[in-house]
Amino acid sequence: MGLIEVKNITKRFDDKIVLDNISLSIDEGDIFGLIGPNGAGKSTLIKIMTGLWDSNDGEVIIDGYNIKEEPLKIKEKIGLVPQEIALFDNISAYDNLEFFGYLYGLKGKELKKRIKEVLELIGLEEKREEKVEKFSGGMKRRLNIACAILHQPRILIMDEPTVGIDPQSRNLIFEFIKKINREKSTTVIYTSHYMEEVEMLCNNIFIIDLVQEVAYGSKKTIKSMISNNDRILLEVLDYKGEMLLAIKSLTGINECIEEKGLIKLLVDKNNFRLEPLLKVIEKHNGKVKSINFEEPSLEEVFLALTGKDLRD
Amino acid sequence: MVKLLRLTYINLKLSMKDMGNYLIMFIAPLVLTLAINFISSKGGYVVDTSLAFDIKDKGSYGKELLQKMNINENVFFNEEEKALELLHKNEVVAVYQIPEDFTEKIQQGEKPNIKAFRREEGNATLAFELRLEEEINNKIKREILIKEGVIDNKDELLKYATKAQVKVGDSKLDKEFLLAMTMILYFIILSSSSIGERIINMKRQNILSRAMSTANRGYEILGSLCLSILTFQVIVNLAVIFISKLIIGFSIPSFSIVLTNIILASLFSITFTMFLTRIFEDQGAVSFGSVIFSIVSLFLSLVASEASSFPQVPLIIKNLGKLSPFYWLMDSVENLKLFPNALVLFLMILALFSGGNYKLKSFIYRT
Repeated sequence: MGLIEVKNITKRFDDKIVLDNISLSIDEGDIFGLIGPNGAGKSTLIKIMTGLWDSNDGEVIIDGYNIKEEPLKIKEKIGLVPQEIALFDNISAYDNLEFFGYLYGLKGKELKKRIKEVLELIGLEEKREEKVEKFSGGMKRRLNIACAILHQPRILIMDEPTVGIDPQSRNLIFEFIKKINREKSTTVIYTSHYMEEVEMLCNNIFIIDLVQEVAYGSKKTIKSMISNNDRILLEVLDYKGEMLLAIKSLTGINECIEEKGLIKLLVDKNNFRLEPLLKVIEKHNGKVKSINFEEPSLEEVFLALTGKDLRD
Repeated sequence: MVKLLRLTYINLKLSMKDMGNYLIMFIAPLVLTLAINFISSKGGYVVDTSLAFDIKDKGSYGKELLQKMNINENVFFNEEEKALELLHKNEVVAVYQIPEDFTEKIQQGEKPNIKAFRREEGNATLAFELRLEEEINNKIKREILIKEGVIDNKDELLKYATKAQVKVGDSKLDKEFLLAMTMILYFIILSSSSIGERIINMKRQNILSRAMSTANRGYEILGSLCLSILTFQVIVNLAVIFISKLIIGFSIPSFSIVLTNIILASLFSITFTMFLTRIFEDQGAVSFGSVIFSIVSLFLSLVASEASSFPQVPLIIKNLGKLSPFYWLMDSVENLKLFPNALVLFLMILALFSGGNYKLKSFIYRT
């Protein structure tokens, strides 16, 4: 049983279904990706998981507690980074952190220590006394995250934390997520409609579209759902046409084409073996300069599964 | 309970850092109290240096009257031309001529005629003239009472006047104290607009929804916010009354009455805001509603409390004033009583609390 169990969650607004029978399980220490286009239902699911909204059917169990029965027990363990910036504009970064620290039950020296730690972690220690209204979008996003980790939650839920920010702040946020996951074993739920972010950060993924599950599992499992083929890019020096024909005849090679000095192979991941390929190249006096394996991207997976681009 | 107090403390700390709060809840009532007191202590009418007087009175009453009214400058005796010259030079706005038979007529119980020369029509001298008339009327009254043998000398009139007071409390209160309390209570009711603004801003800035994701109940979050506003208002308004007392020098007849009325006014203001916020959920509408309510409430309560002075105002308007919190607050302060005023106000607060009570969760996500 995972740290977080979402079972058959359905949410309706009047007659409109906004989440349809969603189930998933997240293990402790995982970085879990929840991806889907805008309006797919990601934020709704997050709101139900954090007790902000009630579901019509199904249940959410976190660390053995049911969110409907003991919401405060669960909320103690959660830090939520909302999609929208949730900060007081007219006061300083420090005052914002102090306010949310109190909401998380911190006080005195402990609170001061935690504020100092998180300000260092997000790189805003020099801006601590500056009013938030003077901050850039990226700085606000970082402070938005800092407010959610003051109480060192076991579970950090980040709802589209990188929307509209500069690459530098984005990289800082990625580094921060990896760090707290590595050093404090914090379980992270990361929602985004940027596939490359989720692909880079997450181990397990839930893809949602039109309020329903599209795919769910490890990255590898999800990618294998759309194809049994992998792509290999070979850069070989001094090769001849006969070599290409020999490669094509190998077991597990479905396609072999030469393009701009590169040999592109489409291989069956179940039957392909690398060793015979290298032997053929050597036999034809070719010299391998580089070899790259390419899996389909999550973007391609989403396209294959839903028939549309994620940003449509 | 401890959690509620801790959250109240942090909300109060934030309130104290917001200079806007001080403007409406501290600076405005203090400045207005001091300014109005300054103006009214000058008599409320055009000061004597902008008026001139020519006394032709053969008796002593004319001179005594001006002395009683603290008028010492530009007073001439049978020098009409000099007085009028000041008017021509635009150094005064009016010249009053006290006639020869001024003392004589008063002694006979008749009203003397005072001639007034003005540069133009206007009401700049109206307050002065009303007071002049009041003084003359009092003087005539005394003369009649002495003549009829009701009193032996003019000082006895004061005894009768005191005995005739219906409102026993009146003589206990300084008018400066009443002015300060009026300003404080008015601004507390008016401040409901800024409370509404704060709650709606917190919703708009997603602070409330974020707060709901923490391990605190909705009523703890909203309750601590309201308690912090109440505490802030009580502290700053007590400061206003004590600073005014220090500067103006009035006496505070009952601290408990002051404190109770400030608390009740503040509670009314907060629950009224919650009520408006529940109905409108729009910052502009809540602010507009609060301001209009404060003004109408003040006006109606004045009409209701001074009903005898406004015979032409319909009875229904006078009675409507009794629905205003201001009427009960000021009545409590003026008469130094808590019953039934505090009870009536408490019931009003309870009604607004029931009408304005909402679940924070549904307030946050209502669109």
